Amino acid sequence: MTRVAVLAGGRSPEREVSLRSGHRVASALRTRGHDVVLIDPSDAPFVETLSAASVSVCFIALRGKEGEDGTVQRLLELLELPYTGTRPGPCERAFDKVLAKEGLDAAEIPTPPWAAVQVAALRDLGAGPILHRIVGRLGLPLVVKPSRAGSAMGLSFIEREADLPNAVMKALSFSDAAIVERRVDGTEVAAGIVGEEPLPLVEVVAKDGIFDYAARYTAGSTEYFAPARLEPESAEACRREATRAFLTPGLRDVARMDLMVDGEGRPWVVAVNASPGMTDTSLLPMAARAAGMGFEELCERILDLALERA
Amino acid sequence: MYQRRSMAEFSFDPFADRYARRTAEMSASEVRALFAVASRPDVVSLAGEMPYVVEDNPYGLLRFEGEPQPTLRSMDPRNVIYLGTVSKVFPPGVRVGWALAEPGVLQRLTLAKEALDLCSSNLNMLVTERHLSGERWRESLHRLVGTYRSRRDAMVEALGEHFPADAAWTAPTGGFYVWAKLSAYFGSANLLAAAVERKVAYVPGTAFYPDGRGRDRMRLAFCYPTEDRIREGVRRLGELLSDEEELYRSLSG
Repeated sequence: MTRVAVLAGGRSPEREVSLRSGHRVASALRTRGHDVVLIDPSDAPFVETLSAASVSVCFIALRGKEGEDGTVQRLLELLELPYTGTRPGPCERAFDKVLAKEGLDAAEIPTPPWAAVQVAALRDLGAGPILHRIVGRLGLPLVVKPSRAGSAMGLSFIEREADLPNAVMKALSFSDAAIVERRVDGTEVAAGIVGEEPLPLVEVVAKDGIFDYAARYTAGSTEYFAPARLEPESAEACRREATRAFLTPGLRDVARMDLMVDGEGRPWVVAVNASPGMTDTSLLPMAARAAGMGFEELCERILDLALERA
Repeated sequence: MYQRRSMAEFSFDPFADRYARRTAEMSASEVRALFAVASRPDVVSLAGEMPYVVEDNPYGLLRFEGEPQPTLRSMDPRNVIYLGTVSKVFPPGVRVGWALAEPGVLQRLTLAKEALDLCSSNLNMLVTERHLSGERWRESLHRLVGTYRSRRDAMVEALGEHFPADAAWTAPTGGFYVWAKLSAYFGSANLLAAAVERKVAYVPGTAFYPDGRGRDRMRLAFCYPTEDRIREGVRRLGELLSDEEELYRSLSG
Protein backbone atom coordinates (compact mmCIF):
# COMPACT_ATOMS: atom_id res chain seq x y z
CA MET A 1 0.00 0.00 0.00
CA THR A 2 1.30 3.40 -0.96
CA ARG A 3 0.14 6.75 0.31
CA VAL A 4 -0.80 8.71 -2.82
CA ALA A 5 -1.89 12.30 -3.36
CA VAL A 6 -4.15 12.66 -6.38
CA LEU A 7 -3.83 16.28 -7.51
CA ALA A 8 -7.01 17.55 -9.15
CA GLY A 9 -8.95 20.79 -9.52
CA GLY A 10 -6.78 23.85 -9.90
CA ARG A 11 -7.79 27.23 -11.22
CA SER A 12 -7.83 26.61 -14.95
CA PRO A 13 -11.04 26.67 -17.02
CA GLU A 14 -10.70 22.88 -17.15
CA ARG A 15 -11.12 22.56 -13.41
CA GLU A 16 -14.31 20.49 -13.72
CA VAL A 17 -12.68 18.00 -16.08
CA SER A 18 -9.74 17.70 -13.74
CA LEU A 19 -11.97 17.10 -10.71
CA ARG A 20 -13.93 14.43 -12.56
CA SER A 21 -10.68 12.75 -13.59
CA GLY A 22 -9.21 13.06 -10.10
CA HIS A 23 -12.20 11.58 -8.26
CA ARG A 24 -12.22 8.66 -10.63
CA VAL A 25 -8.49 8.04 -10.31
CA ALA A 26 -8.65 8.32 -6.52
CA SER A 27 -11.47 5.80 -6.32
CA ALA A 28 -9.63 3.38 -8.65
CA LEU A 29 -6.43 3.59 -6.63
CA ARG A 30 -8.36 3.08 -3.38
CA THR A 31 -9.94 -0.05 -4.83
CA ARG A 32 -6.42 -1.22 -5.55
CA GLY A 33 -5.64 -0.85 -1.86
CA HIS A 34 -3.74 2.44 -1.84
CA ASP A 35 -4.14 5.10 0.81
CA VAL A 36 -5.34 8.03 -1.28
CA VAL A 37 -5.78 11.70 -0.45
CA LEU A 38 -7.30 14.06 -3.02
CA ILE A 39 -5.68 17.51 -3.01
CA ASP A 40 -6.86 20.56 -4.94
CA PRO A 41 -3.95 22.96 -5.59
CA SER A 42 -6.34 25.91 -5.62
CA ASP A 43 -7.07 25.28 -1.93
CA ALA A 44 -4.37 27.42 -0.35
CA PRO A 45 -1.87 26.77 1.05
CA PHE A 46 -1.15 23.94 -1.38
CA VAL A 47 2.47 23.28 -0.46
CA GLU A 48 1.64 23.17 3.23
CA THR A 49 -1.28 20.80 2.67
CA LEU A 50 0.78 18.55 0.45
CA SER A 51 3.69 18.45 2.92
CA ALA A 52 1.37 17.70 5.81
CA ALA A 53 -0.24 14.84 3.87
CA SER A 54 3.08 12.90 4.01
CA VAL A 55 2.53 11.09 0.74
CA SER A 56 5.18 9.16 -1.12
CA VAL A 57 3.95 9.92 -4.66
CA CYS A 58 1.63 12.32 -6.51
CA PHE A 59 -0.77 11.30 -9.27
CA ILE A 60 -1.31 14.38 -11.42
CA ALA A 61 -4.89 14.62 -12.69
CA LEU A 62 -4.65 18.36 -13.32
CA ARG A 63 -5.53 20.01 -16.61
CA GLY A 64 -4.66 23.34 -18.13
CA LYS A 65 -2.47 26.09 -16.80
CA GLU A 66 -0.36 25.32 -13.71
CA GLY A 67 -1.16 21.61 -13.77
CA GLU A 68 -0.24 20.81 -17.34
CA ASP A 69 2.32 23.47 -18.17
CA GLY A 70 5.09 22.33 -15.81
CA THR A 71 4.35 24.65 -12.88
CA VAL A 72 3.16 21.98 -10.46
CA GLN A 73 5.75 19.54 -11.79
CA ARG A 74 8.57 22.02 -11.01
CA LEU A 75 7.22 22.45 -7.53
CA LEU A 76 7.14 18.68 -6.99
CA GLU A 77 10.75 18.41 -8.20
CA LEU A 78 11.65 20.98 -5.58
CA LEU A 79 9.76 19.03 -2.92
CA GLU A 80 11.54 15.89 -4.14
CA LEU A 81 8.21 14.10 -4.50
CA PRO A 82 7.87 11.59 -7.32
CA TYR A 83 4.90 12.24 -9.60
CA THR A 84 3.19 10.65 -12.56
CA GLY A 85 3.76 11.96 -16.05
CA THR A 86 6.11 14.24 -17.84
CA ARG A 87 8.94 16.40 -16.46
CA PRO A 88 8.42 20.22 -16.33
CA GLY A 89 10.30 21.26 -19.49
CA PRO A 90 8.60 18.85 -21.89
CA CYS A 91 5.26 19.56 -20.14
CA GLU A 92 5.65 23.21 -21.00
CA ARG A 93 6.66 22.44 -24.59
CA ALA A 94 3.66 20.15 -25.06
CA PHE A 95 1.12 22.41 -23.39
CA ASP A 96 2.09 25.53 -25.32
CA LYS A 97 0.83 24.82 -28.83
CA VAL A 98 3.26 27.26 -30.44
CA LEU A 99 6.21 25.40 -28.91
CA ALA A 100 4.57 22.03 -29.60
CA LYS A 101 4.01 22.83 -33.28
CA GLU A 102 7.57 24.08 -33.62
CA GLY A 103 8.79 20.83 -32.07
CA LEU A 104 6.69 18.74 -34.43
CA ASP A 105 7.93 20.68 -37.45
CA ALA A 106 11.55 20.41 -36.32
CA ALA A 107 11.19 16.63 -35.96
CA GLU A 108 9.40 16.46 -39.32
CA ILE A 109 6.36 14.91 -37.74
CA PRO A 110 3.40 15.75 -39.98
CA THR A 111 1.26 18.50 -38.48
CA PRO A 112 -1.09 20.81 -40.42
CA PRO A 113 0.52 24.05 -41.67
CA TRP A 114 0.04 26.81 -39.14
CA ALA A 115 0.77 30.32 -38.02
CA ALA A 116 0.74 31.95 -34.61
CA VAL A 117 -0.70 35.33 -33.68
CA GLN A 118 0.51 36.81 -30.43
CA VAL A 119 -1.45 39.38 -28.51
CA ALA A 120 1.59 41.65 -28.22
CA ALA A 121 2.10 41.58 -31.99
CA LEU A 122 -1.45 42.84 -32.45
CA ARG A 123 -1.49 45.36 -29.64
CA ASP A 124 1.99 46.78 -29.81
CA LEU A 125 3.36 45.96 -33.24
CA GLY A 126 0.39 46.62 -35.47
CA ALA A 127 0.01 43.10 -36.85
CA GLY A 128 -3.76 43.43 -37.46
CA PRO A 129 -3.61 44.56 -41.09
CA ILE A 130 -1.46 41.58 -42.16
CA LEU A 131 -3.72 38.98 -40.57
CA HIS A 132 -5.28 38.18 -43.94
CA ARG A 133 -1.90 36.94 -45.12
CA ILE A 134 -2.42 33.89 -42.95
CA VAL A 135 -5.42 32.98 -45.05
CA GLY A 136 -3.36 33.60 -48.18
CA ARG A 137 -0.72 31.21 -46.92
CA LEU A 138 -2.81 28.50 -45.29
CA GLY A 139 -6.01 28.70 -47.33
CA LEU A 140 -9.46 27.89 -45.95
CA PRO A 141 -11.03 26.34 -43.93
CA LEU A 142 -8.98 27.03 -40.82
CA VAL A 143 -8.97 26.03 -37.18
CA VAL A 144 -8.20 28.76 -34.64
CA LYS A 145 -7.28 27.85 -31.07
CA PRO A 146 -5.59 29.38 -28.04
CA SER A 147 -1.97 28.35 -27.64
CA ARG A 148 -2.31 27.55 -23.95
CA ALA A 149 -5.68 25.93 -23.18
CA GLY A 150 -7.16 22.49 -23.55
CA SER A 151 -10.46 20.67 -24.01
CA ALA A 152 -11.18 22.60 -27.21
CA MET A 153 -11.84 25.78 -25.21
CA GLY A 154 -11.70 28.93 -27.30
CA LEU A 155 -11.62 26.88 -30.50
CA SER A 156 -13.27 28.01 -33.75
CA PHE A 157 -13.57 26.56 -37.22
CA ILE A 158 -13.73 29.20 -39.90
CA GLU A 159 -14.73 28.96 -43.54
CA ARG A 160 -14.44 32.64 -44.47
CA GLU A 161 -11.58 35.10 -44.15
CA ALA A 162 -13.95 37.65 -42.63
CA ASP A 163 -14.42 35.40 -39.58
CA LEU A 164 -10.71 35.27 -38.74
CA PRO A 165 -10.52 38.39 -36.51
CA ASN A 166 -13.37 37.23 -34.26
CA ALA A 167 -11.95 33.72 -34.02
CA VAL A 168 -8.53 35.12 -33.08
CA MET A 169 -10.13 37.37 -30.50
CA LYS A 170 -12.00 34.43 -29.00
CA ALA A 171 -8.82 32.34 -28.78
CA LEU A 172 -6.95 35.25 -27.22
CA SER A 173 -9.48 35.35 -24.36
CA PHE A 174 -7.90 32.09 -23.22
CA SER A 175 -4.26 32.71 -23.96
CA ASP A 176 -1.75 35.33 -25.06
CA ALA A 177 -1.27 33.67 -28.43
CA ALA A 178 -3.56 32.03 -30.98
CA ILE A 179 -2.69 29.21 -33.35
CA VAL A 180 -4.24 29.33 -36.79
CA GLU A 181 -4.04 25.96 -38.49
CA ARG A 182 -5.18 24.52 -41.81
CA ARG A 183 -8.18 22.33 -41.15
CA VAL A 184 -7.62 18.74 -42.20
CA ASP A 185 -10.85 16.94 -43.05
CA GLY A 186 -11.03 13.25 -42.38
CA THR A 187 -11.08 10.85 -39.49
CA GLU A 188 -10.29 12.10 -35.99
CA VAL A 189 -8.33 9.63 -33.89
CA ALA A 190 -6.67 9.67 -30.49
CA ALA A 191 -3.48 7.72 -29.88
CA GLY A 192 -2.75 6.94 -26.25
CA ILE A 193 0.57 5.80 -24.90
CA VAL A 194 1.21 4.27 -21.48
CA GLY A 195 4.79 3.54 -20.51
CA GLU A 196 6.12 3.36 -24.02
CA GLU A 197 3.37 1.12 -25.25
CA PRO A 198 0.98 2.53 -27.85
CA LEU A 199 -2.65 1.71 -27.05
CA PRO A 200 -5.27 0.93 -29.72
CA LEU A 201 -6.40 4.03 -31.62
CA VAL A 202 -9.77 5.53 -30.71
CA GLU A 203 -11.83 7.06 -33.50
CA VAL A 204 -14.03 10.00 -32.59
CA VAL A 205 -17.24 10.80 -34.44
CA ALA A 206 -18.99 13.82 -32.96
CA LYS A 207 -22.72 13.66 -33.72
CA ASP A 208 -22.90 17.27 -34.82
CA GLY A 209 -19.56 17.13 -36.59
CA ILE A 210 -17.49 19.10 -34.10
CA PHE A 211 -15.66 17.46 -31.18
CA ASP A 212 -15.91 20.49 -28.92
CA TYR A 213 -16.05 20.82 -25.12
CA ALA A 214 -19.69 19.71 -24.91
CA ALA A 215 -19.13 16.78 -27.28
CA ARG A 216 -16.14 15.69 -25.23
CA TYR A 217 -17.76 15.67 -21.84
CA THR A 218 -21.43 14.97 -22.54
CA ALA A 219 -22.12 11.28 -22.56
CA GLY A 220 -23.90 10.17 -25.73
CA SER A 221 -23.06 13.22 -27.86
CA THR A 222 -20.12 11.51 -29.55
CA GLU A 223 -19.59 8.05 -31.00
CA TYR A 224 -16.32 6.28 -30.39
CA PHE A 225 -14.74 3.34 -32.17
CA ALA A 226 -11.89 1.50 -30.50
CA PRO A 227 -9.93 0.33 -32.31
CA ALA A 228 -10.42 2.98 -35.01
CA ARG A 229 -11.90 1.90 -38.35
CA LEU A 230 -8.77 2.68 -40.38
CA GLU A 231 -6.86 0.82 -43.07
CA PRO A 232 -4.03 -1.13 -41.41
CA GLU A 233 -1.35 1.05 -43.08
CA SER A 234 -3.06 4.26 -41.90
CA ALA A 235 -3.40 2.90 -38.37
CA GLU A 236 0.25 1.90 -38.37
CA ALA A 237 1.28 5.34 -39.63
CA CYS A 238 -0.80 6.96 -36.86
CA ARG A 239 0.86 4.86 -34.18
CA ARG A 240 4.30 5.59 -35.63
CA GLU A 241 3.83 9.37 -35.77
CA ALA A 242 2.12 9.43 -32.36
CA THR A 243 5.02 7.55 -30.83
CA ARG A 244 7.49 9.99 -32.39
CA ALA A 245 5.42 12.92 -31.11
CA PHE A 246 5.61 11.31 -27.65
CA LEU A 247 9.31 10.51 -27.64
CA THR A 248 10.76 13.53 -29.45
CA PRO A 249 9.84 16.19 -26.87
CA GLY A 250 10.61 13.76 -24.03
CA LEU A 251 7.14 12.96 -22.72
CA ARG A 252 6.96 10.35 -20.01
CA ASP A 253 4.59 7.69 -18.56
CA VAL A 254 1.39 8.66 -20.30
CA ALA A 255 0.11 10.94 -23.05
CA ARG A 256 -2.55 11.26 -25.69
CA MET A 257 -1.84 12.47 -29.19
CA ASP A 258 -4.75 13.68 -31.32
CA LEU A 259 -4.50 13.08 -35.04
CA MET A 260 -6.51 13.71 -38.20
CA VAL A 261 -6.30 11.10 -40.94
CA ASP A 262 -6.91 12.76 -44.30
CA GLY A 263 -8.71 11.36 -47.34
CA GLU A 264 -5.55 9.68 -48.52
CA GLY A 265 -4.97 7.91 -45.24
CA ARG A 266 -2.13 10.17 -44.08
CA PRO A 267 -1.97 11.08 -40.38
CA TRP A 268 -1.51 14.65 -39.14
CA VAL A 269 -0.70 15.24 -35.49
CA VAL A 270 -2.93 18.09 -34.27
CA ALA A 271 -2.37 18.00 -30.50
CA VAL A 272 -0.13 16.49 -27.86
CA ASN A 273 -1.56 16.11 -24.35
CA ALA A 274 0.87 15.33 -21.57
CA SER A 275 -1.94 15.17 -19.00
CA PRO A 276 -4.79 13.37 -20.75
CA GLY A 277 -8.28 13.38 -19.27
CA MET A 278 -9.32 10.41 -17.15
CA THR A 279 -13.08 11.01 -16.99
CA ASP A 280 -15.67 8.43 -17.94
CA THR A 281 -15.89 9.89 -21.45
CA SER A 282 -12.14 10.44 -21.87
CA LEU A 283 -10.25 8.86 -24.71
CA LEU A 284 -7.20 7.42 -22.95
CA PRO A 285 -9.20 5.12 -20.64
CA MET A 286 -11.21 4.07 -23.69
CA ALA A 287 -8.02 3.16 -25.54
CA ALA A 288 -6.77 1.22 -22.53
CA ARG A 289 -10.04 -0.69 -22.34
CA ALA A 290 -9.67 -1.65 -26.01
CA ALA A 291 -6.30 -3.10 -25.06
CA GLY A 292 -7.94 -5.14 -22.32
CA MET A 293 -6.71 -2.85 -19.56
CA GLY A 294 -9.41 -1.74 -17.12
CA PHE A 295 -9.43 1.72 -15.56
CA GLU A 296 -8.02 0.57 -12.22
CA GLU A 297 -5.22 -1.27 -13.94
CA LEU A 298 -4.49 1.79 -16.09
CA CYS A 299 -4.19 4.02 -13.01
CA GLU A 300 -2.03 1.45 -11.24
CA ARG A 301 0.28 1.16 -14.28
CA ILE A 302 0.76 4.94 -14.42
CA LEU A 303 1.37 5.07 -10.67
CA ASP A 304 3.92 2.25 -10.88
CA LEU A 305 5.87 4.15 -13.51
CA ALA A 306 6.23 7.04 -11.06
CA LEU A 307 7.06 4.75 -8.14
CA GLU A 308 9.86 3.14 -10.12
CA ARG A 309 11.58 6.52 -10.02
CA ALA A 310 11.08 7.00 -6.27
CA MET B 1 -48.01 22.74 -16.21
CA TYR B 2 -46.68 24.27 -19.41
CA GLN B 3 -48.85 23.34 -22.36
CA ARG B 4 -47.14 23.18 -25.69
CA ARG B 5 -49.40 24.98 -28.10
CA SER B 6 -49.63 28.16 -30.03
CA MET B 7 -49.17 31.02 -27.63
CA ALA B 8 -47.74 34.47 -27.29
CA GLU B 9 -43.99 34.76 -27.58
CA PHE B 10 -42.06 37.58 -26.07
CA SER B 11 -38.70 38.92 -26.89
CA PHE B 12 -37.18 40.32 -23.74
CA ASP B 13 -34.75 43.16 -23.75
CA PRO B 14 -34.05 44.85 -20.41
CA PHE B 15 -32.75 47.89 -22.26
CA ALA B 16 -35.55 48.34 -24.72
CA ASP B 17 -37.87 47.89 -21.72
CA ARG B 18 -40.73 46.46 -23.69
CA TYR B 19 -42.00 43.19 -25.00
CA ALA B 20 -42.42 42.41 -28.65
CA ARG B 21 -45.05 39.79 -29.16
CA ARG B 22 -45.68 37.32 -31.91
CA THR B 23 -47.49 34.04 -32.16
CA ALA B 24 -45.33 30.98 -32.55
CA GLU B 25 -44.79 27.47 -31.34
CA MET B 26 -42.51 27.58 -28.35
CA SER B 27 -40.42 24.85 -26.82
CA ALA B 28 -40.71 24.13 -23.11
CA SER B 29 -37.38 25.84 -22.44
CA GLU B 30 -38.49 28.92 -24.35
CA VAL B 31 -41.68 29.00 -22.35
CA ARG B 32 -39.69 28.73 -19.13
CA ALA B 33 -37.34 31.46 -20.34
CA LEU B 34 -40.32 33.62 -21.16
CA PHE B 35 -41.92 33.18 -17.77
CA ALA B 36 -38.66 33.78 -15.98
CA VAL B 37 -38.40 37.24 -17.47
CA ALA B 38 -42.06 38.14 -17.76
CA SER B 39 -42.69 41.59 -16.45
CA ARG B 40 -45.77 42.84 -14.83
CA PRO B 41 -48.50 44.86 -16.53
CA ASP B 42 -47.98 43.66 -20.08
CA VAL B 43 -48.06 40.04 -19.08
CA VAL B 44 -51.09 40.38 -16.89
CA SER B 45 -53.01 41.90 -19.73
CA LEU B 46 -52.07 38.87 -21.84
CA ALA B 47 -52.52 36.29 -19.14
CA GLY B 48 -56.05 35.55 -20.21
CA GLU B 49 -54.64 33.86 -23.32
CA MET B 50 -52.11 31.88 -21.40
CA PRO B 51 -52.33 28.60 -19.55
CA TYR B 52 -50.62 30.12 -16.47
CA VAL B 53 -48.07 32.75 -15.60
CA VAL B 54 -45.49 31.68 -13.05
CA GLU B 55 -44.42 34.58 -10.87
CA ASP B 56 -41.05 33.66 -9.40
CA ASN B 57 -40.44 36.41 -6.92
CA PRO B 58 -37.41 35.88 -4.69
CA TYR B 59 -36.28 39.53 -4.82
CA GLY B 60 -39.58 41.39 -4.47
CA LEU B 61 -38.94 42.62 -0.92
CA LEU B 62 -35.43 43.82 -1.69
CA ARG B 63 -36.47 47.19 -3.01
CA PHE B 64 -34.13 50.14 -2.67
CA GLU B 65 -36.52 52.91 -3.63
CA GLY B 66 -40.16 53.19 -2.74
CA GLU B 67 -42.44 50.38 -1.60
CA PRO B 68 -42.31 46.83 -2.94
CA GLN B 69 -44.27 46.45 -6.19
CA PRO B 70 -47.65 44.76 -5.98
CA THR B 71 -47.38 41.14 -7.02
CA LEU B 72 -48.85 39.80 -10.24
CA ARG B 73 -50.72 37.34 -8.12
CA SER B 74 -52.54 40.16 -6.33
CA MET B 75 -53.74 41.40 -9.72
CA ASP B 76 -54.77 38.07 -11.16
CA PRO B 77 -54.99 35.21 -8.64
CA ARG B 78 -56.60 32.85 -11.13
CA ASN B 79 -53.90 32.81 -13.80
CA VAL B 80 -50.84 33.37 -11.70
CA ILE B 81 -48.89 30.71 -9.83
CA TYR B 82 -46.82 32.53 -7.27
CA LEU B 83 -43.48 31.20 -6.02
CA GLY B 84 -42.01 32.72 -2.88
CA THR B 85 -38.85 31.95 -0.95
CA VAL B 86 -36.92 33.28 2.01
CA SER B 87 -33.64 32.47 0.30
CA LYS B 88 -32.74 36.11 -0.43
CA VAL B 89 -33.90 37.59 2.85
CA PHE B 90 -33.05 34.85 5.34
CA PRO B 91 -30.26 32.24 5.35
CA PRO B 92 -30.75 30.45 2.01
CA GLY B 93 -29.60 27.20 3.59
CA VAL B 94 -33.00 26.65 5.20
CA ARG B 95 -34.40 25.98 1.69
CA VAL B 96 -37.88 27.16 2.57
CA GLY B 97 -40.25 28.54 -0.03
CA TRP B 98 -43.93 28.44 -0.88
CA ALA B 99 -46.31 28.40 -3.79
CA LEU B 100 -49.68 30.10 -4.17
CA ALA B 101 -52.00 28.78 -6.84
CA GLU B 102 -55.59 27.80 -7.38
CA PRO B 103 -56.52 24.57 -5.56
CA GLY B 104 -56.37 22.29 -8.61
CA VAL B 105 -52.88 23.42 -9.47
CA LEU B 106 -51.77 23.33 -5.86
CA GLN B 107 -52.90 19.73 -5.55
CA ARG B 108 -50.72 18.75 -8.51
CA LEU B 109 -47.77 20.74 -7.16
CA THR B 110 -48.11 18.97 -3.82
CA LEU B 111 -47.98 15.61 -5.58
CA ALA B 112 -44.92 16.67 -7.57
CA LYS B 113 -43.19 17.90 -4.44
CA GLU B 114 -43.95 14.68 -2.60
CA ALA B 115 -42.46 12.75 -5.46
CA LEU B 116 -39.33 14.87 -5.27
CA ASP B 117 -38.53 14.92 -1.56
CA LEU B 118 -41.62 13.73 0.38
CA CYS B 119 -41.44 16.77 2.64
CA SER B 120 -39.22 19.75 3.42
CA SER B 121 -37.26 19.71 6.67
CA ASN B 122 -39.61 20.37 9.59
CA LEU B 123 -36.83 21.91 11.62
CA ASN B 124 -36.02 24.42 8.88
CA MET B 125 -39.68 25.28 8.41
CA LEU B 126 -40.08 25.86 12.17
CA VAL B 127 -37.02 28.09 12.28
CA THR B 128 -38.36 30.10 9.34
CA GLU B 129 -41.84 30.27 10.83
CA ARG B 130 -40.41 31.61 14.09
CA HIS B 131 -38.38 34.20 12.21
CA LEU B 132 -41.37 35.39 10.20
CA SER B 133 -43.94 35.39 12.98
CA GLY B 134 -42.41 38.24 14.97
CA GLU B 135 -41.44 41.72 13.84
CA ARG B 136 -37.73 41.00 13.75
CA TRP B 137 -37.74 39.98 10.10
CA ARG B 138 -38.75 43.53 9.18
CA GLU B 139 -35.69 44.93 10.95
CA SER B 140 -33.37 42.43 9.32
CA LEU B 141 -34.95 43.11 5.93
CA HIS B 142 -34.46 46.83 6.49
CA ARG B 143 -30.75 46.23 7.23
CA LEU B 144 -30.38 44.02 4.18
CA VAL B 145 -31.99 46.57 1.91
CA GLY B 146 -29.61 49.23 3.25
CA THR B 147 -26.59 47.01 2.66
CA TYR B 148 -27.61 46.06 -0.87
CA ARG B 149 -28.50 49.63 -1.73
CA SER B 150 -24.99 50.78 -0.78
CA ARG B 151 -23.49 47.93 -2.78
CA ARG B 152 -25.58 48.79 -5.81
CA ASP B 153 -24.50 52.41 -5.50
CA ALA B 154 -20.86 51.32 -5.31
CA MET B 155 -21.23 49.19 -8.40
CA VAL B 156 -23.09 51.76 -10.48
CA GLU B 157 -20.58 54.43 -9.51
CA ALA B 158 -17.61 52.18 -10.31
CA LEU B 159 -19.13 51.29 -13.68
CA GLY B 160 -19.30 54.96 -14.56
CA GLU B 161 -15.67 55.33 -13.66
CA HIS B 162 -14.20 52.21 -15.25
CA PHE B 163 -16.42 50.88 -18.04
CA PRO B 164 -16.04 51.94 -21.68
CA ALA B 165 -17.89 55.07 -22.72
CA ASP B 166 -20.15 53.16 -25.12
CA ALA B 167 -21.23 50.59 -22.51
CA ALA B 168 -24.65 50.85 -20.88
CA TRP B 169 -25.97 49.40 -17.67
CA THR B 170 -29.08 49.26 -15.57
CA ALA B 171 -29.45 51.04 -12.24
CA PRO B 172 -31.71 48.50 -10.54
CA THR B 173 -34.20 49.63 -7.91
CA GLY B 174 -34.00 46.23 -6.24
CA GLY B 175 -32.54 42.75 -6.31
CA PHE B 176 -28.95 41.59 -6.62
CA TYR B 177 -27.78 42.40 -10.14
CA VAL B 178 -26.73 45.06 -12.59
CA TRP B 179 -26.99 44.21 -16.29
CA ALA B 180 -24.33 45.69 -18.49
CA LYS B 181 -24.45 45.94 -22.26
CA LEU B 182 -21.22 46.20 -24.21
CA SER B 183 -20.26 46.96 -27.78
CA ALA B 184 -21.37 44.22 -30.16
CA TYR B 185 -17.86 42.89 -30.74
CA PHE B 186 -17.42 41.73 -27.16
CA GLY B 187 -18.23 38.08 -26.55
CA SER B 188 -19.02 37.95 -22.84
CA ALA B 189 -18.91 34.12 -22.70
CA ASN B 190 -15.38 33.96 -24.10
CA LEU B 191 -14.25 36.94 -22.09
CA LEU B 192 -15.13 35.14 -18.88
CA ALA B 193 -11.96 33.00 -19.02
CA ALA B 194 -9.81 36.12 -19.24
CA ALA B 195 -11.82 37.75 -16.44
CA VAL B 196 -11.36 34.75 -14.15
CA GLU B 197 -7.65 34.94 -14.89
CA ARG B 198 -7.85 38.44 -13.35
CA LYS B 199 -9.83 36.95 -10.47
CA VAL B 200 -13.17 38.56 -11.19
CA ALA B 201 -16.26 36.77 -12.51
CA TYR B 202 -19.73 37.49 -13.87
CA VAL B 203 -22.46 35.54 -15.64
CA PRO B 204 -22.39 35.92 -19.44
CA GLY B 205 -25.64 37.16 -20.96
CA THR B 206 -25.92 34.05 -23.14
CA ALA B 207 -26.91 32.05 -20.07
CA PHE B 208 -30.22 33.94 -19.97
CA TYR B 209 -31.38 33.54 -23.55
CA PRO B 210 -32.63 30.32 -25.10
CA ASP B 211 -31.50 31.32 -28.60
CA GLY B 212 -27.86 32.35 -28.31
CA ARG B 213 -28.46 36.06 -27.81
CA GLY B 214 -26.86 37.97 -24.93
CA ARG B 215 -23.28 37.75 -26.20
CA ASP B 216 -22.79 41.43 -25.50
CA ARG B 217 -24.38 41.35 -22.04
CA MET B 218 -23.06 40.53 -18.62
CA ARG B 219 -24.85 40.08 -15.31
CA LEU B 220 -22.90 41.59 -12.45
CA ALA B 221 -23.82 40.62 -8.90
CA PHE B 222 -23.40 43.14 -6.11
CA CYS B 223 -25.02 41.06 -3.37
CA TYR B 224 -22.06 39.29 -1.78
CA PRO B 225 -18.83 41.33 -2.07
CA THR B 226 -18.16 44.37 0.07
CA GLU B 227 -18.20 47.81 -1.53
CA ASP B 228 -14.40 47.92 -1.80
CA ARG B 229 -14.31 44.58 -3.53
CA ILE B 230 -17.13 45.60 -5.86
CA ARG B 231 -15.12 48.68 -6.89
CA GLU B 232 -11.98 46.60 -7.37
CA GLY B 233 -13.87 43.95 -9.37
CA VAL B 234 -15.44 46.54 -11.66
CA ARG B 235 -12.03 48.21 -12.08
CA ARG B 236 -10.48 44.90 -13.21
CA LEU B 237 -13.35 44.21 -15.59
CA GLY B 238 -13.04 47.72 -17.00
CA GLU B 239 -9.35 47.20 -17.56
CA LEU B 240 -10.04 43.91 -19.31
CA LEU B 241 -12.65 45.54 -21.54
CA SER B 242 -10.30 48.31 -22.49
CA ASP B 243 -7.58 45.75 -23.35
CA GLU B 244 -10.11 43.83 -25.43
CA GLU B 245 -11.20 46.99 -27.17
CA GLU B 246 -7.61 47.79 -28.05
CA LEU B 247 -7.19 44.26 -29.37
CA TYR B 248 -10.35 44.54 -31.42
CA ARG B 249 -9.19 47.82 -32.97
CA SER B 250 -5.82 46.30 -33.81
CA LEU B 251 -7.54 43.32 -35.42
CA SER B 252 -10.00 45.32 -37.43
CA GLY B 253 -7.11 47.36 -38.80
